[in-house]
Amino acid sequence: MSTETLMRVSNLKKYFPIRKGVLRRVAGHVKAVDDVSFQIRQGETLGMVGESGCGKSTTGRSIIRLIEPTAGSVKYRTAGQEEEITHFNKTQMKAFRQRVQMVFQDPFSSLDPRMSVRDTVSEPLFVHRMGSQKERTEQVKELLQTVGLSVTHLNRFPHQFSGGQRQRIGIARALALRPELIICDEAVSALDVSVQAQILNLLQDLQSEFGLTYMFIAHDLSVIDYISDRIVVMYLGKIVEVATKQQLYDNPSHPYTEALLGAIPIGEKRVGEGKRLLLGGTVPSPANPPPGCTFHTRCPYAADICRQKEPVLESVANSGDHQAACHFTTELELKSFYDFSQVDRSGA
Amino acid sequence: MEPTNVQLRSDHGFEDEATETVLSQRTVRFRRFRRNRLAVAAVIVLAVLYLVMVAFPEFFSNHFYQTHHADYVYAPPQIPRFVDEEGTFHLRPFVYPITSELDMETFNWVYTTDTSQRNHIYFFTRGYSYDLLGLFPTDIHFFGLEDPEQPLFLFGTDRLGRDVFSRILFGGRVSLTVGLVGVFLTIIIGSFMGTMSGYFSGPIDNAVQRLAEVLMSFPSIPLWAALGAALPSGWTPLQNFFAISVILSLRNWTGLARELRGKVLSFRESEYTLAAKCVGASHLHIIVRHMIPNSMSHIIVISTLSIPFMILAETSLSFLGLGIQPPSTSWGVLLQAAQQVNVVLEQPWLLLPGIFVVIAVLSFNFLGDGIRDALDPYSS
Amino acid sequence: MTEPNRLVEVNDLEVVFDTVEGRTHAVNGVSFSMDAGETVGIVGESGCGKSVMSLAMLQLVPRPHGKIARGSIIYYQRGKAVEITKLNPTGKAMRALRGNEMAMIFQEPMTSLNPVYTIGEQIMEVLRLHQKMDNTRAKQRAIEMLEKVGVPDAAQRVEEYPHQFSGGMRQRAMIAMALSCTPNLLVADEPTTALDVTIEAQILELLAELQRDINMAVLFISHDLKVIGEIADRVIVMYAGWVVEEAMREDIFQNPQHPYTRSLLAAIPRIGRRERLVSIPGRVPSLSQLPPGCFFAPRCPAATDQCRREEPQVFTVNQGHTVKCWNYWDKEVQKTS
Repeated sequence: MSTETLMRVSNLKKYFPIRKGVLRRVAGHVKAVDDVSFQIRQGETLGMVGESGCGKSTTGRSIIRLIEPTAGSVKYRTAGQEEEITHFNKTQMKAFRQRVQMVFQDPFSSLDPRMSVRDTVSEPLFVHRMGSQKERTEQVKELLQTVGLSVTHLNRFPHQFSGGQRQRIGIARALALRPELIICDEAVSALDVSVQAQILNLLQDLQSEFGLTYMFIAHDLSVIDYISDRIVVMYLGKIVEVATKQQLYDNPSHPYTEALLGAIPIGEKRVGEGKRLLLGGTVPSPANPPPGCTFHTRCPYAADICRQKEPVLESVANSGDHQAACHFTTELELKSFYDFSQVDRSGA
Repeated sequence: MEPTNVQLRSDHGFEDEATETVLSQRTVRFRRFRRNRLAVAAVIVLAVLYLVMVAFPEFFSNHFYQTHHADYVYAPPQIPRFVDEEGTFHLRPFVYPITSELDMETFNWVYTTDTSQRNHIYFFTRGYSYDLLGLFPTDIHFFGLEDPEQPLFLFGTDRLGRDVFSRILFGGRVSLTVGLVGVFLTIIIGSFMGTMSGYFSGPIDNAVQRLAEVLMSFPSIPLWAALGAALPSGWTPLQNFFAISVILSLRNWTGLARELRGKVLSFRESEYTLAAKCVGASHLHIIVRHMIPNSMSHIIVISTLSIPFMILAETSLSFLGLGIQPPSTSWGVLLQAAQQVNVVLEQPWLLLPGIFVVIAVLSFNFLGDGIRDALDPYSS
Repeated sequence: MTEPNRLVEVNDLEVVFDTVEGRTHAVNGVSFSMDAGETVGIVGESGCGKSVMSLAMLQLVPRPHGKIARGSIIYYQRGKAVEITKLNPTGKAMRALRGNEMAMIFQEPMTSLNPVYTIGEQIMEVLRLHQKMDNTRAKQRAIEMLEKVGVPDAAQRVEEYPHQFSGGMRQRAMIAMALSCTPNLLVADEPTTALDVTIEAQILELLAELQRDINMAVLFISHDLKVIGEIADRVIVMYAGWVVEEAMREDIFQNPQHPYTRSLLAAIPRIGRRERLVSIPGRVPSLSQLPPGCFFAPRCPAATDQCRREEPQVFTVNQGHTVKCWNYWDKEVQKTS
């Protein structure tokens, strides 16, 4: 894996207006994504994790302008040169779409129920006027085989497939344009465990085969751990921690990350009662985030400074790869995942 | 794209497609529809109505609908019988001939039945000449008397002595087709407006919705009256007919447009639309390939349910004298004859066209409900 | 041979649904029992019949398409056996049990809370109905219950409507409602699936705590083995309407016998584990087109001809651990006999 940056996101913001009253006047904003900066490196899998409403999906869609970001810059490296995506016109955007594709969460709504597998998978080729109809069908057949489906499925419709098969169709569609970067938005969340493993393995194989770069958005920390190289943790529209997989699970540097690790179910009896860290309260509304550090309302370590001053994302001691947004990164001794999952097997 | 040659590792798990057969969506829908007895009955009734009235009214009528029988004004229906006055059974149905006489006190025609003579009804007899389907000249009719000049008025006659049965068949041709033509226009206008409105929200949506609201808030009868009255009097019945279809659909599209707007709004938010945008598809592509095919079933259901409205609207307009103009006829024109109370009292058979309106309207409603339930069992 | 502590006994239960595609067996001859105060987890993938199983426990199988075709569910009401499947689902006797002695919570609390009544009114309704409490006492108890499930400012929030509650708070309110009559049995159908992981941890902790308080038995249904492992004493693994394995939690995780249970465990990504996930080929069969023999045979790495032909018997591994698999018979039973 090279360390070359493929996509550089800086100060990205996406605010959704809240309209009220008869005149639909803007009464405020939901800050779905609030000043987010990160990079995606060539060939890596960047995991993005967070609870519902933390803005991870909005981030994924904003960086490829499926929804227009409110502010910020997204630079994408093409032929050694970084280009600003947010300034692209329609034609440039259409060309850019060939480079970055997306796999969606819901295997039921992400395929048009009225379109056969052939039409769905060849749609990208059709839109970009690639090849004749016959050539496109040939390519669809290859793609289906690549994702583990049979060519006999060509003329079937989505309702005739299981959730896992539909997700394969969605992956085939994303691969059709031979993209460099694929954004997987909760791509395995809706699948059964056994099928989820199939899809995760498939995604890994495709990555090594085609040299793909992934941005993998999920709420399940076990899945994120399995597939990612680096992980971005989001909370309430902001990035709270960026780390390699190893660093994140062994040595979390943000109390929220610690809480997430402590909440992962492990399916075994833990040692002692207090081993599991329980986070109080619920996520505040992104329309009205608390001042200072947005996590202070639930943070067990919150001090006065947290309620007043917003922490910035800074490198954690002597590691450029590890960043956290907390006033007490250096002071706190946070538990690792392994501290939480010490299990008692004596009873077995 | 060069050929891809991925050596798949076995633990992707090919999902075996041969293990089960999945019923196609069409089969499931068809089965669901067939279980709805009312809807199936409606299909049969409508098929008969359209076959008899729209395709072959000349064949099924024994008198031409515009022929005046001066001797038989306001003749009551002659009911076909199998058993005569003496109680003898006859295999072939027959009617008794009738003779009219003017009652000089009330100036009403009084009919007496001549039971001494039986006029047998024959099938595939010769009658007046016509062109079958407008193409093949013939004079064969489904039924009639041996002597076509003899009266056989199954549903009686009107004030000019015209056979009401034949007039209902020919009136049905207009009434049943005005619904179809009107609905066709409604679909075109409604689908376009609804899809645009739902897909491009914002100013376009606002404009379409406000236009629909304005149209819907006009009282319909006066609006039609005004538009109907504006039709040039010199137009042929055919031109009149089309003009009325257009007038009806100009207001009727609003319902379809509103319903479609809601659907398209939800389709627009679905992930497959997002996926299409993600591959760089244009708005036109998304509308033509995703929005419209997905709306199709709604369009079909809504249209089926609005045909009866069209039939009723045509009937109302013609009943008020604003729609189809004599000598062409429609169920509404026929019902015009039953506007006075004394007609209802003394010549109740003139209300028979109304029964056909009810049958047609109910059938279309049942059919529409059946299709809707078959397409979407979860909406109720 | 009834155990003194026995609360529920399910015997050879079969639930069928009539659909356009024909008759499907959602639950196909399931037997298990629960003791008072015990937590039993049912785990399985979508379409394995676990949700239908939970509905059947309270006679809530949707009619007229679904019905209990065979078998019995016996509930011991203060030592007296009540045959639930014989009760009229909408009758008085069933309604007196449901909500009072047996309660249920669902995945999506919004569907079981009425949006036009306040949370308080809905809890009070249950209390008035089953415990014949008057308004003042019912309200007091509602506030008490909300406090107990960890809703802050319960006295104020009791006046709020469901939409004013967040997802986790709604699930808490649902639990408060379900537990307001101190039931002996709580059926929880994927109660944490729609929740975020930190909230899920809170709810699991809360359930365990309340259970200890009132000595209630919990039937916990989930697709997630790891969540089941956090809460259940005993685990039932379901596949295509069958119970394929039943054992104490430790046995399921340390000593799984059924190939399906083993595959499930190997398919879950675990933090820190770097090896490739083992996936189960194929997919869960459609309940209307089940294969002959063992339903898992088409996906099973160890399937033999016998598996493809005959339905497996249930074998006992050791006390409280049973498995429905021919391979186990081949391996163990034959060896010893």
